[in-house]
Amino acid sequence: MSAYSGPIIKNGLIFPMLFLLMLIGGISYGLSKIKAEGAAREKTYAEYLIRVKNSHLLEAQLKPGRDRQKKMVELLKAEIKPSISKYLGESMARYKDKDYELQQVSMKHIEDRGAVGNMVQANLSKIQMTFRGGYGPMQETLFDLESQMPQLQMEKMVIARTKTFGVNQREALTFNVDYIAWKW
Amino acid sequence: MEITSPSDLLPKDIYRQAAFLASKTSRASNADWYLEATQLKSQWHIWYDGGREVVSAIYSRDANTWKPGPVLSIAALSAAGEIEAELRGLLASGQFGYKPKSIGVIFHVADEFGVVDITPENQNPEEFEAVRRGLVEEPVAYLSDKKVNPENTAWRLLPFQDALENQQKAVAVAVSRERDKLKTLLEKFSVEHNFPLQLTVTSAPLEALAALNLILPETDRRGRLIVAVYARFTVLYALKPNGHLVQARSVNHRANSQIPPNLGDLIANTAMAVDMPDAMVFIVGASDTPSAPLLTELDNYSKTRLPIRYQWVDSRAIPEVEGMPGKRIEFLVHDVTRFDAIKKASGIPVNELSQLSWFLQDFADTGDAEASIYPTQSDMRLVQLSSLLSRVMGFGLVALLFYSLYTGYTIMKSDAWQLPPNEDHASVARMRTLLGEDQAMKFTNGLVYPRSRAWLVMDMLMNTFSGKPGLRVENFEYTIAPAVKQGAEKTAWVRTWKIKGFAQASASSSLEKLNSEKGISELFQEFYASSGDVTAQTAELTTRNIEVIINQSANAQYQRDLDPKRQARDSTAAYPVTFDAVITQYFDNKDAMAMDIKRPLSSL
Repeated sequence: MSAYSGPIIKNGLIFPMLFLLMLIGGISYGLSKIKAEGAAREKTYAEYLIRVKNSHLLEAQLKPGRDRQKKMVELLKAEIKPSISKYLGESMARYKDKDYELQQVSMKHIEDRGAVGNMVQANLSKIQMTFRGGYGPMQETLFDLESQMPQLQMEKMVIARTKTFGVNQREALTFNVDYIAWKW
Repeated sequence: MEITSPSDLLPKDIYRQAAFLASKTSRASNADWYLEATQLKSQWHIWYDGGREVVSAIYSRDANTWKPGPVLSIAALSAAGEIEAELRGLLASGQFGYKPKSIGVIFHVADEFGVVDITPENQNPEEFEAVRRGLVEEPVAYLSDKKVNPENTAWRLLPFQDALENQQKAVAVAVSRERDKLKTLLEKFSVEHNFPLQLTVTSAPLEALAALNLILPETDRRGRLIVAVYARFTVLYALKPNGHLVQARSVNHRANSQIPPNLGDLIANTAMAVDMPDAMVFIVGASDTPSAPLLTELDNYSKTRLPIRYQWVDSRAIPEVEGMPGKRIEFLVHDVTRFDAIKKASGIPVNELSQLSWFLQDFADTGDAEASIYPTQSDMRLVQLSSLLSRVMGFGLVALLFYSLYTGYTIMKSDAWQLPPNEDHASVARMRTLLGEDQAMKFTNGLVYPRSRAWLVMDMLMNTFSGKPGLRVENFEYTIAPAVKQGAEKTAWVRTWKIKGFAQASASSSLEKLNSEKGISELFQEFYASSGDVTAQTAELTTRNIEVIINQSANAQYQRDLDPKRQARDSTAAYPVTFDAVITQYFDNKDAMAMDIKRPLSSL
């Protein structure tokens, strides 16, 4: 090692290399930041394009169902018991003064959410109704009711024969029907 | 730029000076700056014995050719201007036959030769390498005479390989430092002309010994004494039969005398001292015959004292020096081809030949390399490496900069970079709205899915049991309940029909037919086909399962010949069989019947 060696190594190799390495490091760091930001924006942009495309597809898919959805929501938001009463009344009007054909014995609201209500989080009401009459009228009436109120899901039905019914001692049927009415 | 000693500079200025020398001089590109004069391709040999003659010769090492050199006067050796003019002439004249890129000047000192003692504590042959360095760098510490002045004289170690037990193992050869002026002059010329000029100062008697010891004829066990007669002094070497030096003496001539005083005594005493009384004496000189005073001295001594057997050797008549300017035997050791041939012919083992280096030491070497104001070759290589690395990294830096700018420009010009954040946020909000709407629709559809319609249940009962001839249903119970499955996101469902009633014998077999998974499945599938009730579909669905158990037993109240009145009042007595049917239909949580357990959106 001569008197020159140390200063040359320090001033000619170490310092310039450190300086250059710092510059290269700085530029590399800046470049890596831009690349990372670019990659992030590319990813965002790709997601944006997919999202726009999917939005158009979903929009096309949803558009035809919007009117029905609007009606369904209105239906689901409506008060249950008055609606049932209304539709039952309209349907059973055809059996007015013909008690032996179909007669509504009772209708009551059940507070307990029951097995279904305890499992699912959807809002619901439970209605229990009793009818007495013929099989056909009952089926017709329930058909009318369920057609008007598709949110009704029958949870339980019990049909039993009633031996004495009406003035003529005619055989009739008792219908106990429990409904779940899904709500909005 | 004036070159300053690095000890007077700051580190950054030292580097700047080294970088200047690397870029503005040939010190980085021409390795000859760092070689010794004897290693250079082009050499100028100057031999001077203090007489009237200066022998000047040029030697091309590669071509192995000798030519007479520039004619030098004695005065020229101490006059800077003349030497400089001769050097210029040497470079311009084309005497080498090519343009030399360096010149090694070898000054053979033949006008002085001193032998001095070194201290007894430095007589250990194993430490001679350290003593050699010590004599160059710090001579006073190694010499017996402490009054010497290192400013005026240079000393080099001369070992006696086979010295007797009680005799000196080495001495120091002294040569004055008069050639320092020449060295300074050459260095100045070298710097001014950016041209490597190296000076080596050798001792002519030692060079002569190196050559003569190999050339002279072998002697028997008596050994040999070599008496080299120069103009101003005579040197006497005593060598063992194996060629190993055991003694060296030097005696100056008196004024106007060609031989030393009492040469006979010197020879005889030396032979006795080294225990070689019968040694062969070779007297070497540059003439055909010995000088008259020499002959007289030896004859007289042989007659009056002891007979001296001697052989005169004319150094100019040695065949190996033929063709060399001045026929100087001292030049021989620098002729690569000739000296190699001599060494080979001598038959001396190679390891023994390494001892020759003691005879070819440079008296101009101050050993003070660290104090040199110029950087070493390693330093120049470091500067070049630094420059190369800086250029490479600088190029890399510029390339990286351009690459970064181009990459940055490309990235920033892309559609992805230009996308306004609010547009992206708007698309997210839009998608979220649509997904919410989709979920709301699916949720709504799930709520109103016809998974349990009363009129269809009644229709199925009518088509399967109540409406069948020969069957009378007494009680009917239908339920639908969710089936719990841990961790599921949707509900499974179980629908159960419980039917009790009576059957005629004719209908009993049809009940048996239903009492199997296949039978009841077919019945449900038929109902699905006729009514469109999707909950009754059993075929081609793996998410559904159906089971049936129908128990039949004899009706205890049955009366075969029942009168019509009673039949009207109590028709159950008309049926011989009672039945009890349980139908269970399972829908797993992947079926279309399944329903979300959670409300999908809180905003619903």
